[in-house]
Amino acid sequence: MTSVLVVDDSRLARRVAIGILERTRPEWNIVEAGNADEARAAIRDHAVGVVLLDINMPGTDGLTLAQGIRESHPDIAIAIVSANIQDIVVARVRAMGITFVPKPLNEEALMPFLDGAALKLKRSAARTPPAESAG
Amino acid sequence: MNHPADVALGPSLADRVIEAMEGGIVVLDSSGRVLAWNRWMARSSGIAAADAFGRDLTAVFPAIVGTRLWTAIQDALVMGVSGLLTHGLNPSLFPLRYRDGRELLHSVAVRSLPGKVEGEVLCLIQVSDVTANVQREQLLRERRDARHRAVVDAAADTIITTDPEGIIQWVNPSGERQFGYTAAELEGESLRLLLGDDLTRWTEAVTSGPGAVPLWLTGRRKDGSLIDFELSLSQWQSGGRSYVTGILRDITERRREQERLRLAVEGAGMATWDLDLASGSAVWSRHHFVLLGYEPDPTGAATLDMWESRLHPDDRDTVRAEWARAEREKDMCRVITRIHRANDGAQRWVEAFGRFMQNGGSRRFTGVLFDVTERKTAEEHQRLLMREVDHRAKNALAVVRSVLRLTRSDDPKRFAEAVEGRVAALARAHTLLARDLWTGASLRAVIEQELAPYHGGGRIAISGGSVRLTADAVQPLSMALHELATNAAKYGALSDPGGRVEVSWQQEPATGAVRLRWAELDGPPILAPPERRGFGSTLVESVVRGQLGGHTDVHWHTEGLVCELLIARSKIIPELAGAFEQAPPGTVVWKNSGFELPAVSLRGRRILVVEDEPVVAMELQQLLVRLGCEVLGPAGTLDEAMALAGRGSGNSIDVGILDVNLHGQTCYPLADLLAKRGVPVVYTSGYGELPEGRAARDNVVLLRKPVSDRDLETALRRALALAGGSTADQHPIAERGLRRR
Amino acid sequence: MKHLTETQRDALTELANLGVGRAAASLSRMVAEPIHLAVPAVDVMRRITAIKLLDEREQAAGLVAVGQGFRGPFSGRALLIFPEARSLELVRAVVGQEPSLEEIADLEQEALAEIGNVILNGFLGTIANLLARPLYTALPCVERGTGGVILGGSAEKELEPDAPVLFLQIDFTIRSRDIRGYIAVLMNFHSLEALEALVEEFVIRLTGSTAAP
Repeated sequence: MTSVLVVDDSRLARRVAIGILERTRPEWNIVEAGNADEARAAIRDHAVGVVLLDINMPGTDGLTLAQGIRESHPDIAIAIVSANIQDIVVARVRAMGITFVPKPLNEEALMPFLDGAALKLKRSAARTPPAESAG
Repeated sequence: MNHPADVALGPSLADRVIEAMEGGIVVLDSSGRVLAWNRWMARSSGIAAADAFGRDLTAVFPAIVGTRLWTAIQDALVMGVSGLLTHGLNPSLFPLRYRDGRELLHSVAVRSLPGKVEGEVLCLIQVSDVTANVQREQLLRERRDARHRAVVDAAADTIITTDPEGIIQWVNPSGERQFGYTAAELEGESLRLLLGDDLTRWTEAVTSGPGAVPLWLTGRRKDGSLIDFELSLSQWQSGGRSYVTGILRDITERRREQERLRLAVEGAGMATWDLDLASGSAVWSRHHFVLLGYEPDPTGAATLDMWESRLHPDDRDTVRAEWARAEREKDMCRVITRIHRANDGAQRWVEAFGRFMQNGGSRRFTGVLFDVTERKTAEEHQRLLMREVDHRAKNALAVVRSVLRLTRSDDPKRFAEAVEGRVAALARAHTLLARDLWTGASLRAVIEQELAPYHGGGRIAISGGSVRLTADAVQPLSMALHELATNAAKYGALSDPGGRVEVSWQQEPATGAVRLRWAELDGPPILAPPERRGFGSTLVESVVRGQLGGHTDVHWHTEGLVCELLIARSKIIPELAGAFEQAPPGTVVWKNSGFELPAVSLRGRRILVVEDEPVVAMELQQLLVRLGCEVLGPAGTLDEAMALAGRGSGNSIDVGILDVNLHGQTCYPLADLLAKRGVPVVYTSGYGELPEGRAARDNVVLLRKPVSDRDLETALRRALALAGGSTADQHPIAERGLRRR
Repeated sequence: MKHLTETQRDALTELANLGVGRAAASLSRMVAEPIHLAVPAVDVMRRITAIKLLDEREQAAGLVAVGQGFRGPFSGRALLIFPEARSLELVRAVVGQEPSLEEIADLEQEALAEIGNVILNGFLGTIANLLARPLYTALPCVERGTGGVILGGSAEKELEPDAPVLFLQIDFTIRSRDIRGYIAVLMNFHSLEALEALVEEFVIRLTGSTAAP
């Protein structure tokens, strides 16, 4: 089963994201992480296909973490969900080929990303056996 | 306000205050329509309150739509937040002017006000005039800039500002002048245009930070000519950017001046030094190294010890004392001292002028040094000459005094004649000596001169080999001959027209003394020796004994007087010296002529060679090797030679070939050392003359330069034979192939 | 002293995060450089402790702050604080002007007030919107001195030094300009209780469920 990983140091923010995911993608398994280390462990332990990521977190920030995931797991679809809406930051996120969704998060803003990610997952599942795509 | 309603009701206190305020007051209702518009606002905007009242603000000032001001107004009305918009960040807010048309610069504060109705929100806009502040700031800025500009414009140095990449931002008028570019041509260009490859030195100086060490650069003018600069740099920040400003001082002229000075100093044969007293490290000019016989260091690095170690040991204390005195009295230090060159040990005289100075944090001793050897030599010659002149004058006067005292005569006329004749003889001897620069005179010349008055008619016969008298023998002999001649003229052979005088001499091979025979013939017969000895015979006797080192034999034969004078060998300049005047260079001359060369072998002989001229030394070495000899040395200095001779036993040296003059020192100490060991010595000299004491010794062989192999071989055989003859017991001559150790 | 629950603290932190994100966006646009934001720190403490915290941070080097009072369902004071030495650097970063002499810094100080106003309005306005309540702000003013002077601002004079306050701090830096500072917000305890209710509403609005775990 496809897992979606929600990374945010704020439990409230995670609850908001998870609420939207439960409503819109009930078929996905949801995994939570409060910081970058937990996020990396979750990717190791679960077949994560989608990641929602905050920027401002204690320890490794979300941009650095996204970079790392991009390199180790190029197939994972990543969205940065952040209140840090500086033009420069947004531009940098988009330059990395990552979707930027501003906080406060709402269903309307997140849906295009989730739809796109679901489509991508479906295609990749058709191409390769599920066991490997989970890697 | 001229609104009819206001006139009817009368303005409230609040209205009157708002009207009177020195600043703009505008109040908008929640939909943005103007509720209040005070007199200041009407005056500054040119829009009367009646025209603004009740209208939307965007209709009054259409230009504000979409500006931050408009956003702030909406935020205040919708969200209740207050906003501040300052002139500094918002150059144009409202279109406001003074009555005279000048722009009115202003800041705006926007805040929400609760309205009369519950929940109604109004917006209060306050406008404040900041024109005076801005102008004041501008004035101060300009004044400050003007101050800076005045300094920069007046500076004689080039002042250039660049960005960190070396792109020229700005240049002062001096820079335009010195480089020949206009500021417009330079701005935006790379500094490389002006500095070429020296740009790297500039950037290095920028990265290494401001250092205390001045930096020198060469710049290129527009016309291609070069300028030397001294650079000082500073880095500064403005508006978040960093800049570099360099001040370039033209030192082309200073450089040229320094070069001229350097040429003058070096051209005058002067060497310069600069010593750091704390560290003892010095910088020498190239010539300084050469003067002291060191290999010049390209950087000029030297040490105090390199100087002190060259000082003549006897002069060290004098030099140090003068140094201390100059330092104590803050005076010029001046010394003349002997030094020994480091490379060849040659002794030279040098004169040094130095001064102590405080240069920044370091105490320095700086000055010039030059070679005064020639001057010192000339001074020495002159001193010797003066002493000689003094000595001779005293001698001559002493002789004259003796003549006066000893001449006896009752007849004043005859007394005068006798004295005159004797003084005249003295003068003649003097003339003869002067002709040969006081080196001596030929025996024949002395005789001929004294007998010249009687020379006619073949009455005088002179015969004998070439003998040269020493200078101090010439005068006494002249006096003696004068007495003999005078006596002969008065009483002897020369008093008779038929009388003759035969003067002959020969050198005695055994003693080297010269026997001079004066024989009078055919004169009046002598019946008996005179009863009374006159001054003449006394004088002859005494001068021969006292000043010629010999004695007289007087025989009163009937036929005439025969007087034999023996002149000591010491009064004879050895014939080798006498002969070389005519002899070509390279001729071996020796005193004991007529000596057969013994057949001694040269093969395997150990020859000590001492020669200060390296080329000659090499040549000698080659010749000796060709003759089968083994060469010790060559030694270039006396010390070196003494060390060689002292090392091991003297027996291992068969012959010493010694250059007489070794860089101003004589080789005699070594010659004496060798003589003591019975080692024969061959002197070599460019002058061909040995001092009297040396020349008079036995076993002297002198070889004139340049030396041919035949001459050398002959000289060596001669020396070995002489040594073998005199010291055969201690030194049997080694035979071919054998070597003594 | 009353303490925040974990959920409350989390909600307030997220609220501050959202507010400062907007504030940083407007600051970033002004200086054309990225602003680096730290994670907000939120706590309830005594007023005097908050003052001490501010003083200790800069080791009494002196602070410059743009302060702005606010009032609505809760009231307090928001501050944009800089170590004094670098306070005008921000203005120069925005204006791009040469540094001027100290004596003519009036206009720059006024400009600093405006910059602070933009940032703090962005922050407070965002929070007001998120809480769906109007929040009236006063005009900004520049204050200098120690933490006591700055936090003891005129409007809060009547408050006791021992009174509990909500103290919220977010550090930011503009690395390319070597500018650092922080936003601090103080709310008095009376209003904090009103704030708790608002936060509860905020959580419900965001998640569609109650905040209580």
